Amino acid sequence: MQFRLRLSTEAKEVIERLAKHDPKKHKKILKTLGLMEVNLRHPSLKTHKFSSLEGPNGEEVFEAYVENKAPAAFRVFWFYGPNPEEITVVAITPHP
Amino acid sequence: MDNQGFQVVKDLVQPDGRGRISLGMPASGKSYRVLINDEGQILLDPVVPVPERELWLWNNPDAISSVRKGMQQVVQGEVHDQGSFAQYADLEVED
Repeated sequence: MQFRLRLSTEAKEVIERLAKHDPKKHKKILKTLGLMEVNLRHPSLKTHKFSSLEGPNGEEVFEAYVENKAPAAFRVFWFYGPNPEEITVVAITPHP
Repeated sequence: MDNQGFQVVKDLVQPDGRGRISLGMPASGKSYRVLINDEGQILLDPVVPVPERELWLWNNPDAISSVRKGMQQVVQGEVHDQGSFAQYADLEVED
């Protein structure tokens, strides 16, 4: 199934900042979002439920990996919806 | 006593010899943080247990702040369709 991504302003601004200041990480995030769109089950995403978070309407929130072992490896937090075949990206933030 | 919005659900309960009180169905299956004040009033504050592998987020002020901000923006409809990212799925990147 192919999804359409919707990004919070916060997520959008992180992408814009990285495009200016860290092109390598920016490229990794674009690839991650591309994979989420076309193949949400791609092994490199390591997608899993993040049970201590929930969406604004009680949606299950998931974490996807941008990187694994790199310093300040980024993670993507997202949930399904609000419409079918849509994914809302809440935040893209580095893992310490 | 000021009930501060609370309703009485039991008029009298007495802990058993080990301090245990049965709270009944409203509390079943939940987890609580327990607080006590100078008057001996005990407050049970429902909490969601955080799995160990998720603690990094809650222990990182910048990361949790970013998630909360993003969630608030979603609630307020501050979301953006940036077009398709599909063309980046096959990008060659170094890990």
